[in-house]
Amino acid sequence: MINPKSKIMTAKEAISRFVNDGDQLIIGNYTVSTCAELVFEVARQQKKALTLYSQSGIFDVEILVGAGCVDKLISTYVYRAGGKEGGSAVERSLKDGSLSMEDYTNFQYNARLMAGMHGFSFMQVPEGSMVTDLFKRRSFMGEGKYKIIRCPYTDKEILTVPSANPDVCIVHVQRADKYGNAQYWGAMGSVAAAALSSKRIIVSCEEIVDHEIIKSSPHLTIIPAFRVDAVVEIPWGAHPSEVVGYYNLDKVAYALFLMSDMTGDGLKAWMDQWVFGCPNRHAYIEKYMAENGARTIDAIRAKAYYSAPANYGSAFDSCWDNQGRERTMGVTMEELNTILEERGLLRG
Amino acid sequence: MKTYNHMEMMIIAAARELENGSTAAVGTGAPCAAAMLAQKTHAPDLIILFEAGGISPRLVDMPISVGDSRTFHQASKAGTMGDVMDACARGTVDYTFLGGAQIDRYGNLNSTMIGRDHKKPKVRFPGSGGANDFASLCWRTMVMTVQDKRRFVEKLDFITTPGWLDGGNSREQSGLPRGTGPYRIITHMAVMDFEPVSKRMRVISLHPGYSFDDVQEECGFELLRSEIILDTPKPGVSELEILRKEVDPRGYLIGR
Repeated sequence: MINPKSKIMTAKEAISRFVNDGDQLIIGNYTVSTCAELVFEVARQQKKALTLYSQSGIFDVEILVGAGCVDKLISTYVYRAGGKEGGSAVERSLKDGSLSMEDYTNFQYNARLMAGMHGFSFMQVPEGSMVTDLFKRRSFMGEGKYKIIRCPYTDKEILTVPSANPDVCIVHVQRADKYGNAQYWGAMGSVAAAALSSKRIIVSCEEIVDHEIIKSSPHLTIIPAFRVDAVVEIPWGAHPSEVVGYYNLDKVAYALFLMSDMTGDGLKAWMDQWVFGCPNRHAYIEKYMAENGARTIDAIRAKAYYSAPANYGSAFDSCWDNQGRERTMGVTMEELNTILEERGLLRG
Repeated sequence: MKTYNHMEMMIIAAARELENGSTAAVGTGAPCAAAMLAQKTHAPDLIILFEAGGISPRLVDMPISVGDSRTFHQASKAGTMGDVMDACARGTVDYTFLGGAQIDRYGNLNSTMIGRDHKKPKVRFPGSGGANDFASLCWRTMVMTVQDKRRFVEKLDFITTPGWLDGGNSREQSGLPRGTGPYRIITHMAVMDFEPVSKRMRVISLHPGYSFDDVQEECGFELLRSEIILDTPKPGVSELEILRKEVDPRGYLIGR
């Protein structure tokens, strides 16, 4: 039976329960702390016909496109291995017609999530794009990619983008509690907006911590528990990307991926080995250490560098001191009543 | 014999353009190296912003991605993308540094694709990321790129990022903020600006060893000449030493 209070489950269960074929799926992370294991699991379960949102696609988008999970992609930036002579799964799929892609700028993509997060239907964005091909040449969103409206206050023509409310967000953070309170720190990108604009949220984390830890540092919480559907504890869950405070980017693993990604066959072979060849992240890391030596992994562990703690103490636990005086005015209740009476402020 | 390479010349020439106390939105790679070099030489109070949210970090090591921990190491703020875009939109960011696969005579940039049909590109490049936003909203856009006629083209395959558009006052008329626009194009051969009326690209400074004809030879459109073309001072001993020892000691950009 599922514990009604705990949302802890495996990546396999979370993806199977909360990601459906045909969903709009958003990768919450932006360039770092990439929810690699959740992405791998979507590929393993061969989810189909997804519309994928990604602020900036690296190996995550390449894997989902390469695994044939994605029909439509909405992004601002996609990865390309090996420069002009290289290639990418996105490029190969665009060429063979199996993928269509809509390009936005960072500001606009973020604005779509902000609108979705607020419950608005659109957001105003800078007009600069109207003169570029981002505006003029559109893909599957057609007329609905941008709309120009007249501002009711200034009477100027303004550019707008539609809100986005993806069906499900997958996101990796440093730590969470079993209820789903998710804490993330570092360059925040559009991570919170991606999660909060979505209908369902799957959080993976480096470690599940006691609820008390969350309560002692509430400013670090970016997603409150009541919004979260699943919590998955996955140490090394973002490898080979970086998780601040846990590990650095793994250049060796990245280089291996990059070399493979230049061709379709190369990417397939890489995925057979690292995605489909490993049932979960534990197996992946074990295999990685067996092939490259435990030293490769030890070398990227982060050295601790602590932030100064925030002082949440208040000056008083009561506004009345032990003489019975209200602390800010320095008067007793009796004196206060007298003052109020003298000024005619006390009635009845 | 030259004691420095193309990339070193470009980074040093670009760093010299950033004055102390200014604000600059940069990506990774050569633009970031230029900002780091400026911060370690004449502009210790340069405020650097990264689009993932890092504001005013102390850059001790070269960031690999716009969100990695180096972009907010001992920073004033580790914020959101919205924080940085807002700073640009409110006109508080002086400079941005961009690259691009193609650039035209008005400084418009393509970083999206090569080919005729954007739905089925011959080559798909990364895309805008924050480039369109930064070049629309920051006051002065600088571009760093190798001088190569396959990059400096008559017509872009795709306009990702607005420069001076069709020249003249077309940028301002299009609704982009008045007073913003491309400012310097820095290559391994020269520094270019834009003639104030036509907004066409114009050579203002030549790096040691290159002539105007060399630059024109590697440019797919006709360049203008400034009335006075300066000789770019060659990289100084201390500039090179700081670039090699402190900015890029592993030679990611400048080679080993």
